Amino acid sequence: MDQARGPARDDVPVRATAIVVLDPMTSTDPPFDREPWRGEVEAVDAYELPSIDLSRVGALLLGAMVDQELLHRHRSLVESFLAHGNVVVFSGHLLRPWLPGCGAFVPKVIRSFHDYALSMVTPHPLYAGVDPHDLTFRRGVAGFFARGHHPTPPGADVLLALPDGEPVTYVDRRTTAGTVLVHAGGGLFDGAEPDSTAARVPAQLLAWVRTEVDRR
Amino acid sequence: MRRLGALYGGSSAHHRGLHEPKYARWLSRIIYLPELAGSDLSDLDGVLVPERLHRRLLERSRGQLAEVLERGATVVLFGDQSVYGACPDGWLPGVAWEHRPTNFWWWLDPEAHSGIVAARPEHSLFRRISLADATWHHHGVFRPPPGADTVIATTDGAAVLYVDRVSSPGTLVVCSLDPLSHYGSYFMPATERFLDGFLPWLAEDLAEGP
Repeated sequence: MDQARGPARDDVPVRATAIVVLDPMTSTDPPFDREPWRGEVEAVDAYELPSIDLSRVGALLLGAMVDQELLHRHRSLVESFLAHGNVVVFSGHLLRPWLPGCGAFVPKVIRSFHDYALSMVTPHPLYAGVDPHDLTFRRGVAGFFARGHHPTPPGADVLLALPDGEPVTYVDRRTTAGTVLVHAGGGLFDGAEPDSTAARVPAQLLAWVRTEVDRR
Repeated sequence: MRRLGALYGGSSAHHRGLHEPKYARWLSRIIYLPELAGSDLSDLDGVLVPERLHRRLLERSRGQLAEVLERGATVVLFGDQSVYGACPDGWLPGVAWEHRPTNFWWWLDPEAHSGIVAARPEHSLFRRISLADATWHHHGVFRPPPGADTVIATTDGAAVLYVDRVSSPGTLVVCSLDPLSHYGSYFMPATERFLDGFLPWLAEDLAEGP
């Protein structure tokens, strides 16, 4: 892996290994300034997307507050980035069709807190060792992690679902040559409660993204 | 207020909050933040600035918002104002943010108090909302300038919502609550009740004074 990040040689093409967060710049305390992200990812002002040299980037991470009008305007950049086999992670509610394969966010009709109950569908390193109960509830309060879903493209792997099977987190390797991970909530990058298994998610997400970037 | 505009940062939460029909009916214009710099705001009687906007873009438009106040119109600020601290001329007149650690969980303890009180129970805002409708959590407070009207306060006397008619010829409504992003994320029912009352208050009652 170190070779891939080393200086370019004529006979070894430089591999794109940077993990870039498109920063919405809406907070004084963004999660990417904290563990496990600090030093592992580069936060770039989202409005600089058109000028980022994507040839050195292996993964783009986007959160809930990002300007989706901007992403929709530049969706060909996202498509081309994925066509090169790269990774996109989106944790939020899709408003505009800028992310290949992903349907617009559908909020769940909530009648009781049971409607927020999450369950694992396909085992995945992102949620290894995570009790879905710890994702559904924080201090006994339900609904922080997901309150709806995105319709998934054919062939997507659903990792986590709401009670009626609505896909909350999915991985799509079929729609493009790249890998898309979508979570229908803003909480994938934050550690939630430190003393619950939900706190494992950010570090496991980073490790998974790194593995995906390195194996392309 | 005849014409109220709102800034829109392009996030899904802002989009839902500002386009929900019962709120959109109070808005004459929605101004996409990256296009604010080239926008003429002179037709507006008020500009609503939601919480959690891109700080560099908003700071760049500080002069436009100050101008709205200078000509006697209204600006409404929601949320953490410390993110806009890098303006060379300072942020809007009189806005002094004080960060407070957020207690998201006070309501799980039956003995606990939210820490929020109605500083002016007779204020016109409380004909539209109850204190409970403004009670979820706050990320900070303000020290309003002398002469400003604190409507919602913390128990130690700092402002959560105040109306300032003294620092500029206009009216600056400053509120540390963050209702649009929570409502827009399908989260926290109180934020919906707050907006249900706050927006008609802004549009119909504010100009008449306290």
